[in-house]
Amino acid sequence: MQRSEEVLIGLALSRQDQRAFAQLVTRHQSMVRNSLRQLCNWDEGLADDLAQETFIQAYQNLRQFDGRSKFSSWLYRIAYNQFLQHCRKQSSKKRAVELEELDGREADGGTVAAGEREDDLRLQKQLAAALAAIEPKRRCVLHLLLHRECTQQEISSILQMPLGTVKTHINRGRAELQQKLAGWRPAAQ
Amino acid sequence: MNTSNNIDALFLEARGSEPELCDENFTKVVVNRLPARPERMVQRAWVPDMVGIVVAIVAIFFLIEPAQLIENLQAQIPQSIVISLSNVLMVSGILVLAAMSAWWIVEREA
Repeated sequence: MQRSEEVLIGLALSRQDQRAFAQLVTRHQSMVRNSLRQLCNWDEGLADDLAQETFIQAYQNLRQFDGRSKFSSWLYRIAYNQFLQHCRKQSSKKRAVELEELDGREADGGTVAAGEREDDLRLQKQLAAALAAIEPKRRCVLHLLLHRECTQQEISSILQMPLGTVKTHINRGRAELQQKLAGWRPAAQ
Repeated sequence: MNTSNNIDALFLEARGSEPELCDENFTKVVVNRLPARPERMVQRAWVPDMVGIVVAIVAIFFLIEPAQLIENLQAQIPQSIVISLSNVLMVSGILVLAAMSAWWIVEREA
């Protein structure tokens, strides 16, 4: 029988039960890794590194989770902070070089992991490449809106950003995305 | 692909086809990297201190005559205290140094 999320969090907190926390990781790893891949232009290695850091930080700060929001939303917040921290660390020059490299890799089509459908992955990678051209904070907002179907209020709460700023990011981000995707057709069609 | 609806349609398709990533060794790697249990870490930090204190108490008990120790300590207590500017400055300096040392120790451990 599967234990509820609240029970697992309680066990991880009261007894520092790493097995209970491991179950939480198993449940949420796919979602967190997919989100970070979308934000990191489908750089699987980087996304998985950031996802690992996300879960480690979640374990260290589990006491700060008050249960008012969903556990997944709380994880998102940590993941986005990890991502933004990573972006800040990169110098603008280095970032430009990376984007060039990633663009080149996208043109090659990238490698497809075993068991994952090639067409689906192509769409994911192309959307990630389009998002990669948008500045990191706006990218997070668009990802939560378009991939995770979060409301503006939820985005504001997850990213700890004023609602007005979220709305601005959405309006400008959608315009940028439209421009980026103009003339784009799914390769499979 | 130049309308808002197209973007929504595209992301709708992407949401439907988001791959379910296999865990493989991901959870294992995370669990291996988790820090040790905080309670145990605190316990371990206290053990050497407690051992040192016990050894010191035993050594004092066997090496030092208690009566003589009390006598010596009593001799250290001044008969009168003179509040002068130099004494006040000296005490203030000692307090500042102690506070700074405590702050430095706490900050370094944090």
